[in-house]
Amino acid sequence: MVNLVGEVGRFALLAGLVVALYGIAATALGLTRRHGGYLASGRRAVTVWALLMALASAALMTAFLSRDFSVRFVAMASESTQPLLQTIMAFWGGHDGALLLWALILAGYMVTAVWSLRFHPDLQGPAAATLLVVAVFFSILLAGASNPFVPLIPPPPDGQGLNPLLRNPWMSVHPPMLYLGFVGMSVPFALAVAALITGRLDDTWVLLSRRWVIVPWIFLTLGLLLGAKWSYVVLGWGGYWAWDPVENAAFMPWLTATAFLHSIQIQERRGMLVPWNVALVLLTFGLTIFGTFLVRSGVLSSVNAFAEAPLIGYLFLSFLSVLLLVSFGLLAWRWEALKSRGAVETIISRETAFLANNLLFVAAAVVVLLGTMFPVLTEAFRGVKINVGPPYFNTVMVPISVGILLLMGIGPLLPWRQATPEQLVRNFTLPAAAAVLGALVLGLLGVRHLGAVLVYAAALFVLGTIVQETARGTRVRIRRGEIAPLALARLFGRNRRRYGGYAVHLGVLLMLVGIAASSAFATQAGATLRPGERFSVGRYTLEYGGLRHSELPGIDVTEASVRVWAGARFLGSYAPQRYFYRAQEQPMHHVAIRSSLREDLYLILSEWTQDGRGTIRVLVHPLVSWLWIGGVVAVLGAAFAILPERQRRAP
Amino acid sequence: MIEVLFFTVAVLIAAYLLAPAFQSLQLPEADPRDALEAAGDAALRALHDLDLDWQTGKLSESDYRAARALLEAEASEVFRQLAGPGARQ
Repeated sequence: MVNLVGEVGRFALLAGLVVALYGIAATALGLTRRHGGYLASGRRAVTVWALLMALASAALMTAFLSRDFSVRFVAMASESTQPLLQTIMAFWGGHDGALLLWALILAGYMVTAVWSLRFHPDLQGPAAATLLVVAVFFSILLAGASNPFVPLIPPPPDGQGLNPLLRNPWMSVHPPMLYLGFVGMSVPFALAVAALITGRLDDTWVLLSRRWVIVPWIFLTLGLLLGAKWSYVVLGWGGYWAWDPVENAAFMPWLTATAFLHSIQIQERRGMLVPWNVALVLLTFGLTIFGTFLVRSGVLSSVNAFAEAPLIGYLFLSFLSVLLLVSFGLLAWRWEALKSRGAVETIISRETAFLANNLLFVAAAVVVLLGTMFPVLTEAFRGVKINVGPPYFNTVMVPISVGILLLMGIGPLLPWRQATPEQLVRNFTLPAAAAVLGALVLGLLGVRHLGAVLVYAAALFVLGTIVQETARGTRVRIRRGEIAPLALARLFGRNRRRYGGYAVHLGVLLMLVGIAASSAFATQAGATLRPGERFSVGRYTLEYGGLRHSELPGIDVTEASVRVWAGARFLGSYAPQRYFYRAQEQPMHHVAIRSSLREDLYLILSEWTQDGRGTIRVLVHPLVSWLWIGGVVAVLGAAFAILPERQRRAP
Repeated sequence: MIEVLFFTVAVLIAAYLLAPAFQSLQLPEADPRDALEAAGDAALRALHDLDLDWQTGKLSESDYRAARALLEAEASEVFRQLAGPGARQ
């Protein structure tokens, strides 16, 4: 019997490969022979490739929703009892489907980017061809080694089911957000390549690149946050970030993209750092491919795991090598033409602060890269896999983070070109006083954790700059006769880039404060209790009420009842659970969390005995909710910063 | 049967893709004014930011006047070129 869905999917992927190859050839011919018809044909290839990826995705989703276990990937990632949301999530719950989702998102970006470049015909052709090269790479993977439509004969009566770790609602949004961030970086990459080919790295490129980096930056930030939230809620270890290779793979391009968003301002205002900005864009996209290689090839779980998926690993490495070689080759070719128009005039200026900020962001990316690759390097050179682990990352990243935090405050207070001592005193007094006063108060309160005190003092400094900048800007408008709320609203509305940026800074400082507090001052305790027994952690008293066993389809559920008091105040009853997935023989924690602005109370049911005793592990994480709130503020600030600004009049 | 369907779709795709290649469409030329307009926008944004920096006390009066004169000259040159022959209506 013909499996229609599988046949349609395989046809769409194969046709996609042919169409993408044709598109590159047509665009290249159009550019070299200056033939508008070929270029138009190349643009049509972009649209057709996108439609074919949509068709393949629709076919795979149909296979999942109809429980078509004659498709191997569907049988591996889903089962008949799975709820609808988990069945939809299974689409990206395995390697092959995740790559198809990647291709689908790339298709959306490609169509949007090529359409939006219609007013820049000289950039449109080379950018479309570059994006089609990326499309060809993913088409090769999808039509060959990672084809999600490989048939399974005979089809099994039921599937293996989605990995229990991925059956959480946070997983329904985390991977798509991450991919929207990763794949989105292909557009600024294509724009940079197009600008290098045409030699047009002027203000048009700056304007286009900035927007096209901020959009994926927003998604990447959301993806990182959602991944941290998933880790916190699902993995049951009490943390949200473990410097895991998968986390690091997404963090590295975020760091270089953030560096770019600052250094592009130096190019815009002073005509400096053009090659550096181009290099950052190229590197950011290279890191997204490198990150995907790390995650998908299995090279990091073990060097030997590379042998399990050698073809995919080699394909990724080959593509990355070609990508970097060609793009940086183009940069070298254009080097002379990209020389700076301006120069740093004095050390104390905004451009110097941005330069320092760039060095720290890139240093952070290098630190993460080295730490992530260390086991691979040691195994390759010494035959022994050595993991550096969180102590390495924390030791190196804390000073870098404090440096970045300080520069977040220093940069906006400095003018371009140069600052006079009087202005420095006037602008820095309030924020610096806030930082010093904050550090003193913390010292008097008995806080002795140096890293946390430094982060808090730096955060107060940044907060001081944001408050001061906002207050001064508002006061200017009030002097013109506007009432305070209107003045504030108009200050933000008419300076979206600047105040959107400050909102991002506010979000980041909230995140860093949350991270510092929850890392430095977390407390934990555990106890094995009989029903009715109590124990205390910090200001909390907990009473264990016993166990309850129940069943969900395919899952044995064990649930503990815990009543919690803070002093004399009863806070409520909580139910940490343990799920046991019978088919996968996999246990999973379902933690209970009482979240507040002050701290999170995190309850884990660790073990239990047949006579009803339960072991409850309790963690108290101060200010952890500030991390999530800060992330949302940062994302909203970035979105505000790219809203179109009011047209300004010529002088 | 399904092979016929796929063949038909493939032919339709090929026809759609190849159709413009046989037309003698003019190569779209980049308008040099695009870059000038972007430069003009950037110059106006720089002036606006400079004014805000001045109003919020980040610059001395002499530095502000010198920087503004420089930016105004740059902006005026860009807008002079934009207003020249071939100006967009």
